[in-house]
Amino acid sequence: MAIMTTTAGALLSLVVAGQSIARLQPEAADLQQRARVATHVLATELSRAGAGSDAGPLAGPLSARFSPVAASADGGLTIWYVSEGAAQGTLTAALPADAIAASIALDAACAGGSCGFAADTTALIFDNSGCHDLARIDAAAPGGLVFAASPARSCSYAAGAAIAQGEVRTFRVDPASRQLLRRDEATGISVPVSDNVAAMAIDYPAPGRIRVTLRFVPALLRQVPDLVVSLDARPPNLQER
Amino acid sequence: MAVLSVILATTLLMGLGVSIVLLGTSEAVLAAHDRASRALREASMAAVHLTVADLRRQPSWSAVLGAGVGPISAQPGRLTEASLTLVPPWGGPPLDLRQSTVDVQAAADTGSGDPQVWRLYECGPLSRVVPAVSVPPLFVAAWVADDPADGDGDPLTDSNGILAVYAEALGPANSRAVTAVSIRKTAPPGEAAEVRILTVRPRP
Repeated sequence: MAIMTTTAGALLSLVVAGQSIARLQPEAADLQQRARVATHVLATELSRAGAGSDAGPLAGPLSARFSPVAASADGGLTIWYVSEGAAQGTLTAALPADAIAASIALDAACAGGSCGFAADTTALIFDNSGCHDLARIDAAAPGGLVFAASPARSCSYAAGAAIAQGEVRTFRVDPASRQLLRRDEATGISVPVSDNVAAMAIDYPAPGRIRVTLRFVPALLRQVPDLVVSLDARPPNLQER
Repeated sequence: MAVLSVILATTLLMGLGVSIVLLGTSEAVLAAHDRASRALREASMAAVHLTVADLRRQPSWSAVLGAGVGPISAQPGRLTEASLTLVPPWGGPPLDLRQSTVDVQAAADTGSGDPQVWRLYECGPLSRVVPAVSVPPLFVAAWVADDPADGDGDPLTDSNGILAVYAEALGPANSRAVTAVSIRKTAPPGEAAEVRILTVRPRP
């Protein structure tokens, strides 16, 4: 009887421990996987940050003209880059800050209908003085673009300024929904990247380096400890070469 | 009664144990995939830097764009071997670099600007790039082409000092990472030519 009681007690304690592990382990694994996905998305975007025009008078990384990775007003991280294979060109006439039509010339000749600028995409406009803006394209023709109505741009641009199809995205944490969000700055549309993110901190440990620290919290079980992940990125387009 | 209790408890414990092992295994597999993905990304950047280093030593980039054996450049980089069918370092079926070149050519054709002809410039196992260091069993390859915006209409002549580079790292189970780069050579009068990377675009 005594042996049986002892054995049963030992087994019971093992069962209780096993149940606890079986409940906590999936939550911990889920947290780890969320961290991998979030850091992968951030690392991919940061690796493209600052990619500029491939040809033309303003060819080269955007970091030669302005900072393509910057803190946003709402505590996030805003990233600028020219998309791969996207239309690139120059303004052929001055573009006042409030103008919605631009005259352009493409860097690479475009004969087919599948190349050149396209409607419902984002154009980055920048020049040698550090001015940079974005505009949503409403309509595109071989020699000109019509932008969607929006607040006036920060600068007026002279002929010769660069214009290229690209992306401007802000990553921030919404404390209410505890989500890491990615916002398209041209459309204002936000999409969630990861759930259960409580905080994001950004610092710049050295020139050309960005450290993003994310704190993930468990969804259900408080017993699972928070997970803090730091992504120490050296975006290739921000390096001196 | 006692025997029955022990059998039931043992079965329950076994079930719990197996589920915990499965959870731990899947976590290890996910972590391994994540690690492999990062290694591939870094390997493709290594291929970019190797290509740029070798292109710095080339007096003429038009010569690089010329045809060698099959899709290989007339002036290939240090890693390139004569064979176009190589055994990958992780085993498995041989890598067909002729077909890979066709794939790169098709992927890069945007219809914009001058036509491009992609030449295989570097190819080989990553371990040959850094022989003294233990590296994952990966294969790297890089192709070069004239940039489509130079306006001369000739894909075999570089007339503005800008080349496009397409670097790829390949791993087991068809895993791969691609980085596309533009580079420019400038030669100020009386000074040595300088090669700079204009843009780096890792592909998803």
